[in-house]
Amino acid sequence: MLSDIKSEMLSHPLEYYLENYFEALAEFDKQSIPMIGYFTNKTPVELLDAMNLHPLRIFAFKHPKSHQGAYERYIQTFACSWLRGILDNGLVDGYNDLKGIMFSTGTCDSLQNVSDIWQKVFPNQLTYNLTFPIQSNTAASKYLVNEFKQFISVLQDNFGWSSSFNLKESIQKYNLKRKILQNIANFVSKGHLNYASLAKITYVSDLLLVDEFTRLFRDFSAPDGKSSSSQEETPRLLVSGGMWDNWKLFDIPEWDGLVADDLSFGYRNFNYLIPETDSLESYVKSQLARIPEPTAYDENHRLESLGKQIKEHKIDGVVLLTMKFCDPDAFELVPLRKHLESLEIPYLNLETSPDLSNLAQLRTRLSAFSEILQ
Amino acid sequence: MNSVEKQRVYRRLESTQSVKNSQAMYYFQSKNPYLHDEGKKIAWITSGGPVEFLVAMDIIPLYPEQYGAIAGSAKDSTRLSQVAESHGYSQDICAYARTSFGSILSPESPTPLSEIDGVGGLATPDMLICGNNICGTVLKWYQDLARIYKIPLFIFDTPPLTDDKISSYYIEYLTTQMSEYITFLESEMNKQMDIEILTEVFQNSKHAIELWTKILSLGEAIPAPLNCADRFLLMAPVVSQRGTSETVSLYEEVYQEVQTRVDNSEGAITVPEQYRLLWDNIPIWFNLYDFYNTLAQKGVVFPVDTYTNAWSQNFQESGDLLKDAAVMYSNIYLNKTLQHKIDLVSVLAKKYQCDGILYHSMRSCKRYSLGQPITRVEVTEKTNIPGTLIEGDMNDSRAYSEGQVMTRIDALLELIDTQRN
Ligand code: SF4
Ligand code: SF4
Repeated sequence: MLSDIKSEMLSHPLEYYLENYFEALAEFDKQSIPMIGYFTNKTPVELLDAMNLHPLRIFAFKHPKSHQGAYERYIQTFACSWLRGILDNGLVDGYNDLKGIMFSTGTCDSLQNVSDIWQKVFPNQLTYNLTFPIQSNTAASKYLVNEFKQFISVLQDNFGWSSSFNLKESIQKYNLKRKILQNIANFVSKGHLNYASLAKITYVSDLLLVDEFTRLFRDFSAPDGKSSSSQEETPRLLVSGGMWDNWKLFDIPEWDGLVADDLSFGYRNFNYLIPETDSLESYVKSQLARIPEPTAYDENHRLESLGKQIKEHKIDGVVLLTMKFCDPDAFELVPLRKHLESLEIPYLNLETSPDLSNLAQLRTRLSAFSEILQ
Repeated sequence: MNSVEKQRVYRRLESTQSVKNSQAMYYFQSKNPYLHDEGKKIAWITSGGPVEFLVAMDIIPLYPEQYGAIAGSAKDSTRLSQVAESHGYSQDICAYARTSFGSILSPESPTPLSEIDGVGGLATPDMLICGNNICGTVLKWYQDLARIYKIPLFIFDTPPLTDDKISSYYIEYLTTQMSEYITFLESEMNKQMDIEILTEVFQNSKHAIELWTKILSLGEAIPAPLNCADRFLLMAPVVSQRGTSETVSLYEEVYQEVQTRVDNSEGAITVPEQYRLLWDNIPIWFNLYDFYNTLAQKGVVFPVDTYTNAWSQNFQESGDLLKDAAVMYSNIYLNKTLQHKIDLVSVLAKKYQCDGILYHSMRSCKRYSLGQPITRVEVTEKTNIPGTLIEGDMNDSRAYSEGQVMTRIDALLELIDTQRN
């Protein structure tokens, strides 16, 4: 029962929902909540919500029944570790409870190809690929407005028209969610909450119904009090990267000084607010104005934003987190390094995969980095 | 299958010398020290970029990907990739990009284009033109080139096509960018685009592509008049100089020679043709002749490949030049769906009477390679033509194991033998 999930929500630690991700999907399905799974932070969740569909983020959490390597029948081993894990989960029907899967692709070649592969491997599931423009000018806005309209009409064909379609209301709901997350991120910056908790809350926010999330977290406040003196001595870290989605990486003491992030499903997913109107044009404009992902072309926007965050959070060192075999992360690394060098901010590059197979090595490198910063 | 001694079993095509000469002249001209005084500039452009606009504006287009292929053939791409890696570029990214960065950042001189002009790497660019119709990688690559050289970058954005129908708003987006492209070039060159010249350049391009398509079609003949390595060399002008009248004359010459081969039933290889295979993906540049020659000794010929076919798309004329260009430049093999690739491989394999298909699975190129396991299964289901995947790379020899590759190919050839008996 959904109500059981809600009450469990209050009585269980957050990880319960993340650890039991696939069970949560099954519960939603039992409740006849139509879910659309999505992959990237560009997904127009407000449009889905306005169509009475529940946008639900797809994580690379390992399905209990998945056979590692099953993906090899369909994609090669040099696809990013994140997509390989997801395909493994799909192959044991891990996402069968979803009514559809949507890809919002830009320039990630792996994701683009997997969107085609997904259609082949799961022909009975609605798979939609919304292609984003690289530009953010008027022509690109016009294109994206039409892409969104096309998307709405496909949803309509498959799920019927939502008579209650109200984009403004959906934007308001998601803006509220983002404000709550911004507020919680502030607690982290001030040292009142650890970053792993923020990561868990952020991830859960992409799993629960948006109203449910806001109801539960609207009045969230971190334990009061000033940060301890030992925390004050700990070097302040920021983690920067792409589509990282395993909170367990952050749940180790070596990250004690982590106070902010620049990740796809972290700061870059909640740092913005959308004008609360029904206008699709205005919605598109604000989407295109967001901090670009590593997958996108970016003259300076992301670097500038990173610089601002470093100042704002008084960062001593940056951890550049890259996913194994993720081309966009790998490419972005070079300008990021150069930028940090120009700002004279020390950095450390950690490369890993969602299964954290090299966690021991990561821990050693992280603590060495923190020691150097101290 | 026993190993055979290395001996040259391919037939030399005389017109390849003309292609080499023309390429030499092209690179030589790009190194002209008085180029700027003559009102010309250099642009680096991606292989799927709209080059005609540059030619019409007296801008010399240079292709870092083509340079990558040259460095690969000169067996220098792995060294250059390592140079790039030592500057922080990951070994996982496209080896063309790494070769390019390596050539720029190399403390030693970059790969001499010795076969071509003997005077070093690509001429320094004045501007960059990036079309993402081949992959998303080029966007990140060019973003970094713009940072390194501090020069303007024009992006021609072609979101991947998700089905065979191209929507009107998609075309509108691309057509608008074509106009913006002209404005960009006009501002860089400080002169107006002459639409008459542009139209003429597009006509040359169209003729070059038509001739190239005709040359490729001659591969249907048995024995096949061209092998993979021939086509990979001959394709250079249709990639880099397709808007010029020289390319048209050059391809007329090539066409005549290949047609004569067909008329005389002369094959590309000098031993009897026993296996006709389709090649999918970019070649192994650092092992180009050895690889195809070794297989040719076993009677293996490749009458067709998907790579050189990618430059055979048709330029349809509707009277609206920019719109036609927009359609052509979005309708590119790598910008289309997996289903399109499956259909095309199936059609080509049948049309060229192939006995088998070799899918070169390259870690460098995710856009071209990811999905090949599905293509292999579906194409065989559709055509009954078997195929196998070989692991490798076009430019990074560290990702290639000749023993393993040859074992897989031998297994494919045995399967073909079994099916025949
Ligand atoms: S952006 Fe990176 S992690 Fe995300 S799908 Fe692409 S390759 Fe994988
Ligand atoms: S990723 Fe592939 S298509 Fe893109 S530049 Fe490299 S080889 Fe070419």
